[in-house]
Amino acid sequence: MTKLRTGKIDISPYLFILPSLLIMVAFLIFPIARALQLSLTDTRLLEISKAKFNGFDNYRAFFSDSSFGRVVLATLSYVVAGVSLTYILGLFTASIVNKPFWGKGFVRTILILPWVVPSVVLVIIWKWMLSSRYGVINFFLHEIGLIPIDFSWLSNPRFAMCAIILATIWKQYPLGLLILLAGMQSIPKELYEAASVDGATAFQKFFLITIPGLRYVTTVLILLLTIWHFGNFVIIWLMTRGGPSDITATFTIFTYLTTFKFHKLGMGASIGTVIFIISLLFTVIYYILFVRKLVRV
Amino acid sequence: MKGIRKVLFFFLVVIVCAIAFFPFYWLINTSLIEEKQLFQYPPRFFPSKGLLSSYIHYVLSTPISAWLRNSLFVGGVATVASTIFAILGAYSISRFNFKGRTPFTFLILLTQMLPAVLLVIPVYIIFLTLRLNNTLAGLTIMYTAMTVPIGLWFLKGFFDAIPIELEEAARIDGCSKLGILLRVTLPLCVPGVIATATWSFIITWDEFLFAYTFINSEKLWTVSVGLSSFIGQYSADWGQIMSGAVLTTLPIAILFMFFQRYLVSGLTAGSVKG
Repeated sequence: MTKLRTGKIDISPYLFILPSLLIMVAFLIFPIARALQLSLTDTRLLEISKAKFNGFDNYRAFFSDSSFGRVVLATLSYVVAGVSLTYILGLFTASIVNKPFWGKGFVRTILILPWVVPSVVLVIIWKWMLSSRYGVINFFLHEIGLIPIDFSWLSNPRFAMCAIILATIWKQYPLGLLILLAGMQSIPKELYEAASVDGATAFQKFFLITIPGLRYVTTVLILLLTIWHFGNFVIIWLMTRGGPSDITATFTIFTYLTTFKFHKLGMGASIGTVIFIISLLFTVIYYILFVRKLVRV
Repeated sequence: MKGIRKVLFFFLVVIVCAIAFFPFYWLINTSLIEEKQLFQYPPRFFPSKGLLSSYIHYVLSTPISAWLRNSLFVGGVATVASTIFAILGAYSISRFNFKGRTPFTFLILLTQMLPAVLLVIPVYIIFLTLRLNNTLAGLTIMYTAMTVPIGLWFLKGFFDAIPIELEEAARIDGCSKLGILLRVTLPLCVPGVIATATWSFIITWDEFLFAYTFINSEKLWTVSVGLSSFIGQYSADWGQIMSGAVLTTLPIAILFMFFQRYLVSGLTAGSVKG
């Protein structure tokens, strides 16, 4: 189909992709090349023209910075807790909606709804619910005697990250629900019927049929969620701005603070580049280890 | 035994839904409660009087209508542009076998790994040079670029599902490639186009980082930036903030309710089929 009768190369496939290609190269790919170049300079926000090349100094400075370990820890806890809790909650709600019952469509809509809430609105809701003294969550937990009424989640070094993760999974679990539900519906019903005939319990069916049947979907979902959590900015930024005392500053927050608060553009670009390289490496390794095998089967 | 199980399951469903929905309930409740009653112990679970006063205050004291207009403009233009680009591009990679198809597909995937927070730094400098910073035009361009890869991926899945045989007849009749796409394939792919456009629009409505970094004038803010400007103020007036939050969520929630079916099929098609 690619060649006209005259034997010349048909350019129409290229013309079709041209608009997408141009805008992606101009505003996504070229900027990244520019960012890599910036990361090797000492560019500062308000004096961009005075920038000087300084090799890998930014990277060296970041890796030996006293906050480096804290940033890694914050990122890891956010990603690991966020992804696993989102997955578990998605699996749980998907198995509910996968059962036939009256009003299922309505229940599904209710359960997916958090997914379309704009992130800023999400943060506002949770900040108000978690607010000290007047927050409704504090009210419930105070009533059952767990916390003092003026407990402040977001300024508590131990619980600030918990609060952020709580808000994050409320927004993200519907994605898990949708993808896992689609996976569940693609498992042949005969498997369950055969298992019932053999007298399998619901638990056995879940762990021996459903979970293995979801292998591919799970692998893809975990990858999507990990990249999303790793790059998430808005929820953490609006909840705490990385505080208290940088304890919730993940890679993305640290990049933004360095660039736009401390005006170290070159330094920020190098931390951002580290995020990009980790995402890329993670995806490639993950793909080779898990996804490729499943596609072949 | 079966009856008991059914009742237990029913309660489980009710509890799960109640927990999932509670934040929405609290959002609406707070937006309707009278100012003075917000700071009480125990908190009020039902609004009683002054129902819409927070909304009236919010609409009168903030440029919310300008923010809604800006979001609608930026999101609308970006959605239309990126959907058109994505239709053409996705059709090309779904139907034609040309040199550069695989690199192009990889490029699409690569863009999904770009951290927005890295992207925003060079784009900030580029926009300063092009004088696009603090303009809605700049934001629109960026949103188009950000939503194109997702649209390509979505629509490729939809085009792949349409049998190529349907196009053969038109081809034999001498219809051009663009003609086939517009007259034969696209009409069959309307759900896919709706899904793509809805998804893109939701993304632009939600976007915060770029709008927050590039737009300085209050009049040019989008809804999310406008709303965020109230977070962390000392005299936080939660009733008004919540009514702003409701007004920000409403358009997107309605859109979602309408197109939920298409959106879900578009999202899951790619990930389940692999």
